[in-house]
Amino acid sequence: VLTAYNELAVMEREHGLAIESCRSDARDEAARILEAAREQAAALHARATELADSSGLDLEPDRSVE
Amino acid sequence: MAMSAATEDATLSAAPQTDAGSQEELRQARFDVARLRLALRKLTHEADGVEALDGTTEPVVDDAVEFDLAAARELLASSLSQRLDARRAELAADLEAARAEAARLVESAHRRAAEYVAGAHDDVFGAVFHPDQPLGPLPALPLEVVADPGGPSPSEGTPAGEPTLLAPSQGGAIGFEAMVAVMQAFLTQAAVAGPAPAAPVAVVRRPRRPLRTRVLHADVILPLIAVAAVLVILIAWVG
Repeated sequence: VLTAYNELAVMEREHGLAIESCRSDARDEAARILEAAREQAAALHARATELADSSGLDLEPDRSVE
Repeated sequence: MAMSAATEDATLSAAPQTDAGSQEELRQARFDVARLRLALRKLTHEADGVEALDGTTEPVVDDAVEFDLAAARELLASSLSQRLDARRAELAADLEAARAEAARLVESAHRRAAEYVAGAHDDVFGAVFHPDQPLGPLPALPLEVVADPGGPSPSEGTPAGEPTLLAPSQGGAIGFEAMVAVMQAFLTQAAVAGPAPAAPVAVVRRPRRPLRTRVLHADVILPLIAVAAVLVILIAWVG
């Protein structure tokens, strides 16, 4: 009975660690994906503004008014 | 009875252990044998007690205590093994559900990232091709993602009727490079033509005006009046 109890305790502990690791990895991966998307959108905005400025266009009239 | 039980044990122990299925069947058989053996011992004890009360026979000294202990041990081990296997299966199912939830979380993040980049592309294109639509600041993108329960599959794209210049699946580096190339070409044309873009390059769906409004337009009605006047003069001159 003690052997079975110990085996069950080890099994439960490993299961809890596996669950937590799985969730943590998924959260990290999702955050990395969203951060990459945010950086990509920011780079797109910056590149568009740079090209517009070099071409004499104003994509942000509100900014020029201010 | 002890001899027959020992024979059964020897037979079950000598059974070929080929695979997990055979192991499970063997363990179940041992469990059943141990349970039946204990039940038989209990009935035997009761029968001996009844006969001793009747005075027909002398009380029988239990000479199979060790055998009963072995059977009880076997029964307990089998029961514990079954409980462990059942719990192991429950934990495996739980882990599988957690993995599915994690996969949904990552898939939701991918979808939201693609939508966010596609929205940024639309904003930039709108600001370039429509001067009255300024390029506003980037909307905030919360980094916390909640998995959609039973969310759509990755094959599902943007809803119909909402044209996007770049599909969300093209929101990666390739989409960005294509976007920059298109913008450079357009801005070069705009710089050559002047500060104001002559005509939008993007496809713009203008609503069709009604026929009455189009006929009454000056570009149409004035030539018609001129032609009618010439016809009236010609008819008068011929007549």
